[in-house]
Amino acid sequence: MNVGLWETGIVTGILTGGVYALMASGLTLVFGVLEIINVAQGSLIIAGAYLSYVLQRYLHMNIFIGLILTMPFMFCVGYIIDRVFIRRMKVDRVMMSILVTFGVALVIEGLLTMIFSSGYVHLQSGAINASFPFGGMRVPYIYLYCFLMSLVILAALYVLLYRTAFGRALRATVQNRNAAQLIGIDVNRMSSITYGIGAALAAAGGMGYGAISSFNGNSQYDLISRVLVIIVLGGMGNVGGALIAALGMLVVEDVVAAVWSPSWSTLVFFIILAATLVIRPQGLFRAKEARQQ
Amino acid sequence: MKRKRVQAAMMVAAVIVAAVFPLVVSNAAIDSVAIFTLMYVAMASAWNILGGFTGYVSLGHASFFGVGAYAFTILCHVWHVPGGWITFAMLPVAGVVAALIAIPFGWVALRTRKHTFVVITIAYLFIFQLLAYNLTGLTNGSAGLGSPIPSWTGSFFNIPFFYVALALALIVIAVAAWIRSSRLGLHLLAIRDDEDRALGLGIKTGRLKLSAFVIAALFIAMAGALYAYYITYVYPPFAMNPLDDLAMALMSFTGGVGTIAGPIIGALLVEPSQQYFTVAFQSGLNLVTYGGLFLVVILLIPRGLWPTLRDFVASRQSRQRVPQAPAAETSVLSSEGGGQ
Amino acid sequence: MPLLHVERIAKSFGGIQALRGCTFDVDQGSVTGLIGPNGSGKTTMFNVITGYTHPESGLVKYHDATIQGQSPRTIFERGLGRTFQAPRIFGRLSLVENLKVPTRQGTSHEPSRHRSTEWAEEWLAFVGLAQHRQTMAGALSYGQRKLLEFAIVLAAEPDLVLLDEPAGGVNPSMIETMAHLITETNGRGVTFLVVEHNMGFVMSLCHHVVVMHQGQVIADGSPDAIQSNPAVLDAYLGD
Repeated sequence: MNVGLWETGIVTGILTGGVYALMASGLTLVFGVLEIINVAQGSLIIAGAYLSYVLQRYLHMNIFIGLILTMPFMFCVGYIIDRVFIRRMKVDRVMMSILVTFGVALVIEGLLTMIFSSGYVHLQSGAINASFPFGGMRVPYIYLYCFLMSLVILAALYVLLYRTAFGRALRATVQNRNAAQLIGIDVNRMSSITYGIGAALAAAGGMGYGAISSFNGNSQYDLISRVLVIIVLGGMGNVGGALIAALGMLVVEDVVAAVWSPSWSTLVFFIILAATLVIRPQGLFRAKEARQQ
Repeated sequence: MKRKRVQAAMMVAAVIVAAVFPLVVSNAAIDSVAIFTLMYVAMASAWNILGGFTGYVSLGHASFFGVGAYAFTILCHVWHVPGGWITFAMLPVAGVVAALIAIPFGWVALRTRKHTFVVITIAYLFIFQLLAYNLTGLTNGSAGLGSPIPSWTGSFFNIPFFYVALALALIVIAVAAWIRSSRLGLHLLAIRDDEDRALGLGIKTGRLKLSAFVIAALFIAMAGALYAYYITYVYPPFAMNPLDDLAMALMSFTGGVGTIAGPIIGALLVEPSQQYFTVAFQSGLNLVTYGGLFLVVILLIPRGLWPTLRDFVASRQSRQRVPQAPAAETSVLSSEGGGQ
Repeated sequence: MPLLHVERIAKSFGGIQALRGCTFDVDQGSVTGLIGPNGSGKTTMFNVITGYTHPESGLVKYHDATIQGQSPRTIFERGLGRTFQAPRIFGRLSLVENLKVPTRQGTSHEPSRHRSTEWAEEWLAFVGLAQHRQTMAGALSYGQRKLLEFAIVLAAEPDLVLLDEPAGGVNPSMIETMAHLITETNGRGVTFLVVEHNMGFVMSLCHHVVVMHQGQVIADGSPDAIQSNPAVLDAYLGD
């Protein structure tokens, strides 16, 4: 057995896991506050990746600096999506939300395909071509930078959630949407802002995703399925659980890819989900229960 | 009952129109859209037995469409089944193979509820897609497999497929209607409303949910097999398509989820328009139109066309008969699942 | 031999000991009351008896067979039904359909008449909901839902029915109706175990009363004996 392969798998798994943690935290947060499954998150991630692509290709902006523009922009997009579509759902929100956000995802995918055609693109950066040696392989610096970026943004999210008055109101809403309303929290506004935050996190995650792999509008299906698996394993609505699940899953996937075969690694990803749910139907960590209507 | 008779008459008229359709319309492109539409009538009605009756919204049943397509093609190769009428006998075989595979998958997924169930079924689609790509010995990977090719030529080619698709659709509708009117259907609907309560009233909820899961898989797989035969080949992205998954749910919700007529109406409206958008618009715009239309329907009439229309007509009639009809028994009461 | 025998049942949630070794009996043919202040463990006890919660230790015997740890379905099949404090009916089914839901399939206790519409309508008429037979149950008032749930459970002809606050949150005339229905079905041989806060209701209806406090049975006897028991007074007034 080649120890170098294992190590490489673990390191790339942790580094890419950070990016997935970013995408998953947005999705699980939206579930926690809005009590909906946001299937559009995959297409928002790809939209974020394309935004970074435009800034870098046409304005020659560094992809990390570009986040200063793309994240607020995607926040607004998310805010509007909530106002226009999500808020209209009154009954059977969990089930209807899957359909509504899938519709949103289709529209976004269609728009992206119209603008950028369906050819695969890849973000460019000096850090993508440069690499450092590790365990007999070379790991591109971009993996490290994306991981660091994820850490910074997740730390900012932590501060927002646990050190501000807004964060307290938001966590109260996650605990109990109705009670939050009773104590004077504007749950509708909270929902729009949360959806916006989810989209902003998707913008950053999309940048990381686009720097690590090539993508087109159609990549959203693969992404959303993986991110959904992560948040189910982490316990839906549980941000910390999502982070751990993201790192764990990506490490497993990359180790399998390194020591066995890349074509089977994704399958292992899904099989872990199925196996876990046979033992613990509620996920690895405590999930927020969606209330009955 | 008058309403029952009107519905029966509508049903008979629809079957007659469908039966003479390919004889009147000989345009191959239109006939092909008609075949796909009938396949979707069957698939949406089958999906509705699980998603509509029990409330377990599965976004993974397109996997079984793919399993049916592959089972059909592989078994035809193994047993040297030639193209022709006899080949249609392989559809139920493919359906049974998929149903057997659906049992363990259904058992795992149905241990969870509501949103978690949905997410797992989404994962299933990707599991099966990956298997189709990677089990190259069985599926020939991304290159795909060719199915038996019948010797029918020209405008006749579509005719057998049309009538088999029609037969499949009618069988699924009949099964769905039978389930809905039976005690099994009543118990499935009870699970939808309050599963734990149903369990406490003696209902074998686990077994019933699994039955609905497997019955839906069986018929969807038969549609998949028919599809593989009709387009003469099968390969992963076609066989396991996330859009198919959504299509079944979308059609059911558009027409009225949990009713018998809903998925039929939904399929008849959605599938031809989707086919039209794909042909008429550039790539991308078709998705925007499809997704946009879908959003409008689901946000404006969340209960679906059929229940909304039915209640509208019912309230019009009752207003004509009794001008001062008590408001208590109109709008809120009649919801989906009350009848067909 | 009592119809239901509960012995040393213990159950905790997290760190909270909800039931700490409760023992009591329900005699065949009786209407037995289960009373106690809020949080004394009455509903948990109901959940344990009907299989919705599994106890850590102790014994539940019904018809002399041990039933603790069995699923709610099996327990219902054996002829032990229950209602919930907030009535749980099937909102998107008509009243007649609601009445056809309960089943004791595979046992000798399900004669074919149970599946008939006449049977369903007979029970609807019995609880006074006949005129709503085709209405969706979701449109009923709270009190009507209680009546419907009562009919659903009784339609399967169980031997023992656990009623969780049958008189809670309904108007006085509805309380009278409920009392009448319980007396009537009790006369036909159905045994009842009733959780209720309305003391007038309990004392006029029950042959025997069990008092719980902080997860324990603190008194057990006839309504008169219970009313004059100082421990019961203490529990209610706070010690």
